[in-house]
Amino acid sequence: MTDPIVVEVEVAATPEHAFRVWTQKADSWWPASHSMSGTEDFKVVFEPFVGGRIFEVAGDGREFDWGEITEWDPPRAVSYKWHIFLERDKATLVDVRFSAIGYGTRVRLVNSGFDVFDDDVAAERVGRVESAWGSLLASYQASV
Amino acid sequence: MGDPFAALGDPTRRLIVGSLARREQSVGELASQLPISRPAVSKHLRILRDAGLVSDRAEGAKRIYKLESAGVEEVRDYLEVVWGDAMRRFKLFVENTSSGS
Repeated sequence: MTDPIVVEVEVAATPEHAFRVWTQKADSWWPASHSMSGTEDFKVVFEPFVGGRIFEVAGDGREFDWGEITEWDPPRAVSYKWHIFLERDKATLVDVRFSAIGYGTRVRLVNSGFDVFDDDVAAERVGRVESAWGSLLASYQASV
Repeated sequence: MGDPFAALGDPTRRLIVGSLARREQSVGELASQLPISRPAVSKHLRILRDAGLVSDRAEGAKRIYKLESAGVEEVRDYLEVVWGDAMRRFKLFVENTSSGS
Protein backbone atom coordinates (compact mmCIF):
# COMPACT_ATOMS: atom_id res chain seq x y z
CA MET A 1 0.00 0.00 0.00
CA THR A 2 1.48 3.30 -1.09
CA ASP A 3 0.61 6.34 1.01
CA PRO A 4 -1.44 9.07 -0.64
CA ILE A 5 0.07 12.45 -1.35
CA VAL A 6 -1.45 15.21 0.79
CA VAL A 7 -0.74 18.86 0.07
CA GLU A 8 -2.53 21.65 1.91
CA VAL A 9 -2.35 25.40 1.39
CA GLU A 10 -4.23 28.35 2.84
CA VAL A 11 -5.09 31.12 0.42
CA ALA A 12 -6.34 34.65 1.03
CA ALA A 13 -9.45 34.38 -1.14
CA THR A 14 -12.98 33.02 -0.94
CA PRO A 15 -13.72 29.33 -1.58
CA GLU A 16 -15.68 30.44 -4.67
CA HIS A 17 -12.65 32.17 -6.15
CA ALA A 18 -10.27 29.35 -5.21
CA PHE A 19 -12.59 26.75 -6.75
CA ARG A 20 -12.94 28.84 -9.90
CA VAL A 21 -9.19 29.21 -10.29
CA TRP A 22 -8.65 25.49 -9.73
CA THR A 23 -11.21 24.40 -12.31
CA GLN A 24 -11.24 27.26 -14.85
CA LYS A 25 -7.71 28.65 -14.72
CA ALA A 26 -5.60 25.52 -14.33
CA ASP A 27 -3.47 26.64 -17.27
CA SER A 28 -2.38 29.59 -15.12
CA TRP A 29 -0.94 27.51 -12.29
CA TRP A 30 -0.22 24.02 -13.62
CA PRO A 31 3.54 23.99 -14.34
CA ALA A 32 4.02 24.46 -18.09
CA SER A 33 6.94 22.01 -17.90
CA HIS A 34 4.30 19.34 -17.26
CA SER A 35 1.96 19.97 -20.16
CA MET A 36 1.47 16.85 -22.27
CA SER A 37 1.87 18.78 -25.49
CA GLY A 38 5.16 20.19 -24.27
CA THR A 39 3.96 23.66 -25.30
CA GLU A 40 3.68 26.78 -23.18
CA ASP A 41 0.49 28.22 -24.70
CA PHE A 42 -1.87 25.45 -23.65
CA LYS A 43 -5.35 25.69 -22.11
CA VAL A 44 -6.88 23.34 -19.55
CA VAL A 45 -10.60 22.52 -19.60
CA PHE A 46 -12.57 20.99 -16.71
CA GLU A 47 -16.02 20.02 -18.02
CA PRO A 48 -18.18 21.11 -15.04
CA PHE A 49 -20.11 17.91 -14.25
CA VAL A 50 -19.60 14.33 -13.02
CA GLY A 51 -18.22 12.32 -15.93
CA GLY A 52 -16.82 15.49 -17.53
CA ARG A 53 -13.41 15.37 -19.16
CA ILE A 54 -10.33 17.22 -17.99
CA PHE A 55 -8.14 17.91 -20.97
CA GLU A 56 -5.38 20.10 -22.32
CA VAL A 57 -5.74 21.99 -25.58
CA ALA A 58 -2.38 22.81 -27.13
CA GLY A 59 -1.79 26.02 -29.08
CA ASP A 60 -2.20 24.10 -32.33
CA GLY A 61 -5.57 22.67 -31.26
CA ARG A 62 -4.47 19.16 -30.32
CA GLU A 63 -6.25 17.75 -27.26
CA PHE A 64 -4.73 15.59 -24.53
CA ASP A 65 -6.87 13.87 -21.90
CA TRP A 66 -5.75 14.41 -18.31
CA GLY A 67 -8.65 12.95 -16.34
CA GLU A 68 -12.34 12.58 -15.61
CA ILE A 69 -14.52 14.34 -13.02
CA THR A 70 -15.95 12.04 -10.33
CA GLU A 71 -17.34 14.66 -7.94
CA TRP A 72 -18.43 18.21 -8.77
CA ASP A 73 -19.62 20.24 -5.79
CA PRO A 74 -18.64 23.92 -6.21
CA PRO A 75 -17.25 25.63 -4.26
CA ARG A 76 -16.61 22.85 -1.73
CA ALA A 77 -15.06 19.98 -3.60
CA VAL A 78 -13.92 18.53 -6.89
CA SER A 79 -12.57 15.01 -7.40
CA TYR A 80 -11.24 13.34 -10.47
CA LYS A 81 -9.49 10.38 -11.97
CA TRP A 82 -6.08 11.60 -13.04
CA HIS A 83 -4.09 9.89 -15.75
CA ILE A 84 -1.98 12.68 -17.23
CA PHE A 85 0.94 11.07 -19.13
CA LEU A 86 -0.45 7.59 -18.46
CA GLU A 87 -2.89 5.12 -19.94
CA ARG A 88 -6.44 5.73 -18.78
CA ASP A 89 -6.50 2.52 -16.72
CA LYS A 90 -3.53 3.82 -14.74
CA ALA A 91 -5.46 6.73 -13.26
CA THR A 92 -4.85 7.75 -9.67
CA LEU A 93 -7.48 9.72 -7.73
CA VAL A 94 -7.29 13.42 -6.95
CA ASP A 95 -9.62 14.91 -4.36
CA VAL A 96 -9.58 18.66 -3.66
CA ARG A 97 -11.53 20.26 -0.77
CA PHE A 98 -12.06 23.98 -0.29
CA SER A 99 -12.96 25.01 3.30
CA ALA A 100 -13.68 28.54 4.45
CA ILE A 101 -11.37 29.62 7.27
CA GLY A 102 -11.27 32.95 9.08
CA TYR A 103 -9.43 34.96 6.49
CA GLY A 104 -9.64 32.81 3.42
CA THR A 105 -9.77 29.24 2.25
CA ARG A 106 -7.94 26.05 3.12
CA VAL A 107 -7.29 23.93 0.02
CA ARG A 108 -6.49 20.31 0.74
CA LEU A 109 -5.40 18.00 -2.07
CA VAL A 110 -5.21 14.23 -1.65
CA ASN A 111 -3.80 12.17 -4.52
CA SER A 112 -4.37 8.47 -3.79
CA GLY A 113 -4.71 5.13 -5.52
CA PHE A 114 -1.07 4.46 -6.38
CA ASP A 115 -1.52 0.73 -5.96
CA VAL A 116 -2.78 0.67 -9.54
CA PHE A 117 0.92 0.77 -10.44
CA ASP A 118 2.07 -2.20 -8.43
CA ASP A 119 4.05 -4.65 -10.53
CA ASP A 120 3.04 -2.85 -13.63
CA VAL A 121 4.67 -2.11 -16.90
CA ALA A 122 3.12 1.33 -17.14
CA ALA A 123 5.02 2.44 -14.08
CA GLU A 124 8.18 1.12 -15.62
CA ARG A 125 7.61 3.16 -18.73
CA VAL A 126 7.04 6.44 -16.99
CA GLY A 127 8.60 6.10 -13.59
CA ARG A 128 12.22 6.71 -14.34
CA VAL A 129 11.80 9.84 -16.35
CA GLU A 130 9.29 11.21 -13.90
CA SER A 131 11.46 10.60 -10.88
CA ALA A 132 14.27 12.34 -12.70
CA TRP A 133 11.98 15.28 -13.35
CA GLY A 134 10.98 15.27 -9.72
CA SER A 135 14.54 15.55 -8.58
CA LEU A 136 15.17 18.29 -11.09
CA LEU A 137 12.25 20.22 -9.68
CA ALA A 138 13.37 19.59 -6.14
CA SER A 139 16.79 20.99 -6.88
CA TYR A 140 15.17 23.93 -8.64
CA GLN A 141 13.03 24.62 -5.60
CA ALA A 142 16.02 24.37 -3.32
CA SER A 143 17.76 26.97 -5.45
CA VAL A 144 15.04 29.64 -5.43
CA MET B 1 27.68 6.44 -15.10
CA GLY B 2 26.49 9.93 -16.05
CA ASP B 3 24.25 12.10 -13.93
CA PRO B 4 20.58 11.60 -14.93
CA PHE B 5 19.63 15.11 -13.91
CA ALA B 6 22.39 16.70 -15.92
CA ALA B 7 21.34 14.45 -18.82
CA LEU B 8 17.80 15.85 -18.61
CA GLY B 9 19.03 19.43 -18.49
CA ASP B 10 18.89 19.57 -22.29
CA PRO B 11 15.54 20.25 -24.03
CA THR B 12 16.22 17.90 -26.96
CA ARG B 13 16.97 15.07 -24.58
CA ARG B 14 13.75 15.78 -22.69
CA LEU B 15 11.88 15.50 -26.00
CA ILE B 16 13.58 12.19 -26.72
CA VAL B 17 12.72 10.86 -23.27
CA GLY B 18 9.12 12.06 -23.66
CA SER B 19 8.83 10.27 -26.98
CA LEU B 20 10.34 7.06 -25.58
CA ALA B 21 7.90 7.25 -22.66
CA ARG B 22 5.13 6.61 -25.19
CA ARG B 23 6.88 3.67 -26.89
CA GLU B 24 10.30 2.19 -27.62
CA GLN B 25 11.82 3.35 -30.90
CA SER B 26 14.80 3.19 -33.20
CA VAL B 27 17.17 6.11 -33.83
CA GLY B 28 15.57 6.67 -37.23
CA GLU B 29 12.06 6.89 -35.79
CA LEU B 30 13.22 9.39 -33.19
CA ALA B 31 15.13 11.46 -35.76
CA SER B 32 12.02 11.69 -37.98
CA GLN B 33 10.20 13.54 -35.17
CA LEU B 34 12.99 15.92 -34.28
CA PRO B 35 14.60 18.83 -36.11
CA ILE B 36 18.06 17.31 -35.76
CA SER B 37 20.14 14.76 -37.66
CA ARG B 38 20.41 11.05 -36.87
CA PRO B 39 24.00 11.37 -35.64
CA ALA B 40 22.88 14.14 -33.29
CA VAL B 41 20.06 11.92 -31.99
CA SER B 42 22.57 9.09 -31.47
CA LYS B 43 24.79 11.40 -29.48
CA HIS B 44 21.93 12.40 -27.20
CA LEU B 45 20.88 8.76 -26.80
CA ARG B 46 24.39 7.84 -25.73
CA ILE B 47 24.29 10.48 -23.00
CA LEU B 48 20.87 9.25 -21.84
CA ARG B 49 22.10 5.65 -21.83
CA ASP B 50 25.22 6.55 -19.85
CA ALA B 51 22.95 8.24 -17.31
CA GLY B 52 20.92 5.03 -16.95
CA LEU B 53 17.74 6.61 -18.30
CA VAL B 54 17.41 4.51 -21.46
CA SER B 55 18.62 1.10 -22.60
CA ASP B 56 19.10 -0.29 -26.09
CA ARG B 57 19.03 -3.63 -27.84
CA ALA B 58 19.76 -4.84 -31.35
CA GLU B 59 16.85 -5.74 -33.59
CA GLY B 60 18.19 -6.79 -36.97
CA ALA B 61 20.34 -3.94 -38.20
CA LYS B 62 18.61 -1.42 -35.93
CA ARG B 63 19.08 -0.45 -32.34
CA ILE B 64 15.86 -0.04 -30.40
CA TYR B 65 15.83 2.33 -27.43
CA LYS B 66 13.48 2.22 -24.46
CA LEU B 67 13.11 3.97 -21.13
CA GLU B 68 14.60 2.20 -18.16
CA SER B 69 12.27 0.94 -15.48
CA ALA B 70 11.28 2.41 -12.15
CA GLY B 71 8.65 1.62 -9.56
CA VAL B 72 5.58 2.98 -7.92
CA GLU B 73 7.49 4.82 -5.20
CA GLU B 74 9.32 6.84 -7.82
CA VAL B 75 6.08 7.78 -9.56
CA ARG B 76 4.60 8.84 -6.24
CA ASP B 77 7.67 10.83 -5.23
CA TYR B 78 7.62 12.58 -8.56
CA LEU B 79 3.94 13.52 -8.28
CA GLU B 80 4.47 14.78 -4.74
CA VAL B 81 7.02 17.27 -6.03
CA VAL B 82 4.78 18.28 -8.95
CA TRP B 83 1.75 18.85 -6.69
CA GLY B 84 3.84 20.86 -4.24
CA ASP B 85 5.03 23.04 -7.09
CA ALA B 86 1.52 23.31 -8.58
CA MET B 87 -0.02 24.26 -5.22
CA ARG B 88 2.50 27.04 -4.65
CA ARG B 89 1.73 28.44 -8.09
CA PHE B 90 -2.00 28.00 -7.46
CA LYS B 91 -1.81 30.00 -4.21
CA LEU B 92 0.07 32.84 -5.90
CA PHE B 93 -2.40 33.00 -8.78
CA VAL B 94 -5.47 32.84 -6.51
CA GLU B 95 -4.22 35.61 -4.29
CA ASN B 96 -3.15 37.82 -7.18
CA THR B 97 -6.55 37.55 -8.85
CA SER B 98 -8.74 37.79 -5.77
CA SER B 99 -10.84 40.92 -5.32
CA GLY B 100 -10.88 40.21 -1.57
CA SER B 101 -13.44 38.30 0.40
